[in-house]
Amino acid sequence: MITRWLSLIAVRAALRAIGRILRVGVAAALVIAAAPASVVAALSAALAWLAGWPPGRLYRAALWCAPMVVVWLAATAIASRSASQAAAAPYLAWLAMWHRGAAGSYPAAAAVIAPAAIPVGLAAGGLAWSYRIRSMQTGTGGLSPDAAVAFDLRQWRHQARSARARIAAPGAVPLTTRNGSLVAGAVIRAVGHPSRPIASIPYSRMRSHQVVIGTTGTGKTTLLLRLWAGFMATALRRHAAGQGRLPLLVVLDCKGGADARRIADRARRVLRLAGARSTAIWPDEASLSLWALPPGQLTTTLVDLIEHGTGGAAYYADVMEAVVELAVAAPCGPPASAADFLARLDPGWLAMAYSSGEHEAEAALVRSASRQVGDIGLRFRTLLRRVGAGLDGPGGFGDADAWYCILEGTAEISVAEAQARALADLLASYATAAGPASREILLAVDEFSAVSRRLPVWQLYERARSLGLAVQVSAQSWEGLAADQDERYRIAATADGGIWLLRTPHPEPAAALAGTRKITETTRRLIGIPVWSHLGTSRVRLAPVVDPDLIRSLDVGQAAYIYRGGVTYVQVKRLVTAPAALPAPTQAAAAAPGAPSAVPRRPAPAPEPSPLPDARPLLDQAFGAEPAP
Amino acid sequence: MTRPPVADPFLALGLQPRPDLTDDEVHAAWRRVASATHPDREDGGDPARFAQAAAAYTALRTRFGRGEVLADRTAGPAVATGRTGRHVHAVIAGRHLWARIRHGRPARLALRVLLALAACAAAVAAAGPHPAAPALATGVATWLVLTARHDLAPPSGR
Repeated sequence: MITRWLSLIAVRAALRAIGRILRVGVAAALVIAAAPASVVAALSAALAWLAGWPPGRLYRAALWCAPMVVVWLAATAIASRSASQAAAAPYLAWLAMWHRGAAGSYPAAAAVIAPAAIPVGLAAGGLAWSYRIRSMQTGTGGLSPDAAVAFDLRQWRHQARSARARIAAPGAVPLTTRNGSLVAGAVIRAVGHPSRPIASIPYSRMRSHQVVIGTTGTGKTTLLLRLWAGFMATALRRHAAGQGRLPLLVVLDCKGGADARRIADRARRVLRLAGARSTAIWPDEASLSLWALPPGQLTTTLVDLIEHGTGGAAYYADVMEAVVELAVAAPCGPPASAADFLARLDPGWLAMAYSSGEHEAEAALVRSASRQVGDIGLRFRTLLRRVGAGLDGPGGFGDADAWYCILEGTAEISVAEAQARALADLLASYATAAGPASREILLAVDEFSAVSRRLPVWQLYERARSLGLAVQVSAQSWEGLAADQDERYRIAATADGGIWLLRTPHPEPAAALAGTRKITETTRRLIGIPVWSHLGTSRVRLAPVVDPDLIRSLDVGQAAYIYRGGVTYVQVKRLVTAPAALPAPTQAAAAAPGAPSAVPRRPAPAPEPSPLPDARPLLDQAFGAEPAP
Repeated sequence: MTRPPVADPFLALGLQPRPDLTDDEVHAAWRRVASATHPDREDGGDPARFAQAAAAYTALRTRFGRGEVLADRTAGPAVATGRTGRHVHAVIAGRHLWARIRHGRPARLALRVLLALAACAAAVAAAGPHPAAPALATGVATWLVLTARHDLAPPSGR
């Protein structure tokens, strides 16, 4: 009985072994029979592994072989003068390959079968590569327990290397695509997003709020410059095609210092290449007029510029607001400059302004507040002196394509806070007042939390949303987005345009906003150290879409773009600011008859050329006024 | 308003193109050039140069203007867009293509083209008068078209 049982076991084992040998034999025979396609498949799968390509890239390559196949079939039909021969071309080529191979003419054998073998091999290579990735991701592939982790790390290195090579090619990653999307760089890896060679985002996402988080030195400025230039180029092209309004980019750099000025200069250069005709750098080179605000708004803004406390101080704040309103809403019109406003903060001036008899109530207010007017004037004199001339000059946001506003948030926080408040109010007023002639505005705020004590970012967000502005907030860390957790979540959760994460030490909260995805996890039995058996169980579980550890380990120039439950890891391409001889995009507008002009106003005076321009004002300035005849 | 066609406003005023130029330096340079070239001089001056200097001073008199002119210098020469006609467009297109090659990776592009030609020649030589020969040449041409654009600078506006 025992002998019989043992013999049955032996027979079963032998049958299994024979079955396996047969399977391997049949597979080997098939591989040899389809040798050219097998070779191409093996090579293409190996190349995909080496370059970290997704299988889709091999499928696309197979599709791009279509012209070759069409020409091959057409040439076969023409040569044999029979269309039916074209249908049999693959078989005939296969036969010809073996015949030439048997005759020792290997190059000829490879050449005659290549038009059929290359597309088939690429598709088969794609399938094999896809199977390999799938088996490693689910844990069913690999010989050792850590095979899946090692495979993923190796693939990340390969993918990053390929992305770096791609951005090194000058024409591989343009600023914008043909369909008007903005290109940030080359795709390293995509999870939940389509895997394409270049990472592009539609223009509509630049018209929504975005969040950018990354520590210093991770390539945040490079990414922002690229996004701003892409926004400018796309918006100008859309405007030239009559599909949109003129763009306006307003950058609030809340760090200040020499670094901000260097970035401003770079921004001006890249925006110039993107088609922007003028970039105003505030307050160093250009100024805005706070006094252009409507009187009601001007009063609110001026009062908000001054810090005022609570309790007993609140009474003083009310008195101050009443006095400011009297000065701004005087019968002679609102103040035209800081000097004009300060001159009004005088009991005598106010009494005179409201002395006509038609403003009894206001005159009474002046009398009752006359003791405080001097103090209020002193506070505003100090504030306006510290804020500087940047808000006291002629000019408005409509005068340039882009404004780069430098706030000294690191050196002088209270001044920068007042400036930020005033600039936000000016921009809101510009967006409201422009009406149908308004522009497509992108407000980019870098490190706004440094100055957001009196104007929280979320408040700016909500305000911008109501005005149709897009706001792009950037910070060095999740904590830098806002003062408390609620505000941070409010900002990040409403970023409809996506979240950009560069290397940052605490990415978990932002990464969690990408959500989870279903993955298959397989446990396999160990049959020895460290070899696995084929026995095990699989289960589906939820895993985070964005791996925070991967974010923590990103290199310089690498970013993760989170949008709608997916993430695309991008190698950001740096914009080169001096590729001379590339014509300005406004050329497209000039070439298209009937298209609206893409040329905005320029704040800098520039007279039309003439053989001899009227230089009298300049000569007067240089040599003194000409004496009257 | 358009920027006057001064080739280089800094050059017109005899100034070094520096971002840290002050208003006073520009003013002094303008005075120097204007007094030397003014048409009211006894020798008649140099009206053309005076006009150029006046336009340059207008562009450079403010810090904002100097920043814009400096940015213009790095943006390179503008391509004429006012001319029309098929020949002119062809010339412009050819010039653009040449500019794209020059500002791309010309050596790598040349190597790629040579490689494609060699592959084509090898395929034709190996296949002989077989339908595979034109097909392989088409395949190589497709590969060249798809990959060569990476070695060119991006097209205008993109």
